[in-house]
Amino acid sequence: MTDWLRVAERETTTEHAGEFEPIARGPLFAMIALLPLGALAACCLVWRKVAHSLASARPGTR
Amino acid sequence: MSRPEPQFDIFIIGSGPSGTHAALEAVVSGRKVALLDVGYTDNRFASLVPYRSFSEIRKTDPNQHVYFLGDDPAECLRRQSKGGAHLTPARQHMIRDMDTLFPLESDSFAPLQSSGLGGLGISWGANCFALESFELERIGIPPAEISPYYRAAAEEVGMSGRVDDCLAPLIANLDHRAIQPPIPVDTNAETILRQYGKHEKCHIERGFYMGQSLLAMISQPTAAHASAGRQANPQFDMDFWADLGKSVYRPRYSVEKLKTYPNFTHLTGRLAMSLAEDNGAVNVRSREIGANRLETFTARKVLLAAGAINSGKLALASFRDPSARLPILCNRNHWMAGINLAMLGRPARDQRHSLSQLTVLMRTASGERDYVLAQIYSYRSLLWFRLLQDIPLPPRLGLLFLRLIATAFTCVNIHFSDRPSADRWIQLSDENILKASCTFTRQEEELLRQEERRLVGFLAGLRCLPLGITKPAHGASIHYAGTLPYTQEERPFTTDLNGKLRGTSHVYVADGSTWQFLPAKGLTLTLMANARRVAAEAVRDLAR
Repeated sequence: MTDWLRVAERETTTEHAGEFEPIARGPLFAMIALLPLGALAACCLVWRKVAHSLASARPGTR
Repeated sequence: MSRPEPQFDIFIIGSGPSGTHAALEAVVSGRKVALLDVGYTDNRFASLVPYRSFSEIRKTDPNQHVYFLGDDPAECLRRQSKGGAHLTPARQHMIRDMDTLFPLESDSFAPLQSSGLGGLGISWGANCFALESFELERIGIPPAEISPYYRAAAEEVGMSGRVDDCLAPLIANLDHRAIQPPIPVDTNAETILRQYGKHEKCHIERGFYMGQSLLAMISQPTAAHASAGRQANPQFDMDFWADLGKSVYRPRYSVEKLKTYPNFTHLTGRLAMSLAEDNGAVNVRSREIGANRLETFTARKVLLAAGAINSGKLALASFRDPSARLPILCNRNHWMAGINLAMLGRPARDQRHSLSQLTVLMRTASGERDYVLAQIYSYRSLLWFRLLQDIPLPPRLGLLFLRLIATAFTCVNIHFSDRPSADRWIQLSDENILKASCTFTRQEEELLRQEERRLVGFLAGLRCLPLGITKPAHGASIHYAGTLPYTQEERPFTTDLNGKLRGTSHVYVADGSTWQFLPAKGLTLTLMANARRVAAEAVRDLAR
């Protein structure tokens, strides 16, 4: 079972409903919390692209 | 010896928005009307959905996984990757057996073809547009004739929206008295609209019109709607999962209504194969799907309303010309995910409907007069796990990110118009398999990029910042047209302005196949109105 299918099943149970509720504690809280997440997402995106181009540059992968 | 009388006066192929409205127009004439379709239905999931709001259901219903994920979640999600997230389990019968009933070979075109009762109207987003006169003329529909049919279609579907905003002058061909009061927009859309309103005049001068979406959604049921069991939208945010209170229009409601007429016959479970004219009548060859048996029906007039792709295929199969290539039009559509900064970290009202909240029409900067359309949605009830795949973070952190932007998360569905091109066609092979190719020139791609950049810049100016744009396979917009176009020239595989198919005396085309142009604005209301116009002409033709 893929990771996100597991998340889907969790998201459709009453026990875990709270884990999928919006967090609305004001714009300042959201911005402070999103800053490191955004930076991490940007790093992950760059890493994915680098890994992808390295993999496609390897001989025999084209 | 005299020939037997044809079985039906008017024979309609297809139960989508065009077919049902053509049938409604024809049946009131008292003539014998038949409607043939594959007509799959599935009430298993919708009947499980409680009459409660999405947020309440999430907290209280232990059976929610059944209608949110279906019997087989992996298969359900595979189908959604083909048809979009809005193709929820209750709506997936729309494309059941699609690949076997409507085989199509193409590496550049991935359309959806419906086998369900109500056709592609099963998952219609309910956005309504009455086209402007220049658009109708470009399509080939006489603007002077369409207004009464627009009104009849609007009254049947039950429309709600504003008639006093900057979009109202753009729907002048529709009598505004047919529009019910609007259902309020949600908190997210409210803030975007407020931001637009601060400089509305300036935006309009630059060619950007924004207002509340006009929807085929009831806010004040008329007596006719109430007698059909249709109610005002309960604003439960469950519109993607079930048709609660039958508030959002689906063509199957019209089929239920048609069945109350004694002169109406529903020939369901059948796939039309070809047509042949014979001595003042038309023979319709079809296959009964369950019994796998071939049948032939006879009718005085036949109306093709099987959708642009399938009506085109029927014409190709009937004239048996494997060298013929028919044009195909399809709106290109992109999805933009964005964050509305005005809503970041702020709570939103639970009470809302799930469909398009706002409509943006952007006048194109170059070429002839045209628009790019953007429909703004607040992604709330379609569940988060789908988006997790696209976020470059581990699932736990991705979920945290989504929860933080939940009330500010905005989805924009962008549509572009389409015109006939030698690079976009369908063709029927000797083996009866449809082949298609849809490619775009570098110049077309560049124009589209430029228009999209302008639109994204406009939205950013309203503090709606783009996170990313996804470009689904061509065909995902589910808007198809143009295979048997209207034209004054006598050419095969075209129709005259009344919808009569050239080379025939009794076959009319009542769906989008006849359109020479596909505007960016949603086509469905115009399909219904035009199908009524063509059906009225076929009825008049019977009396001649």
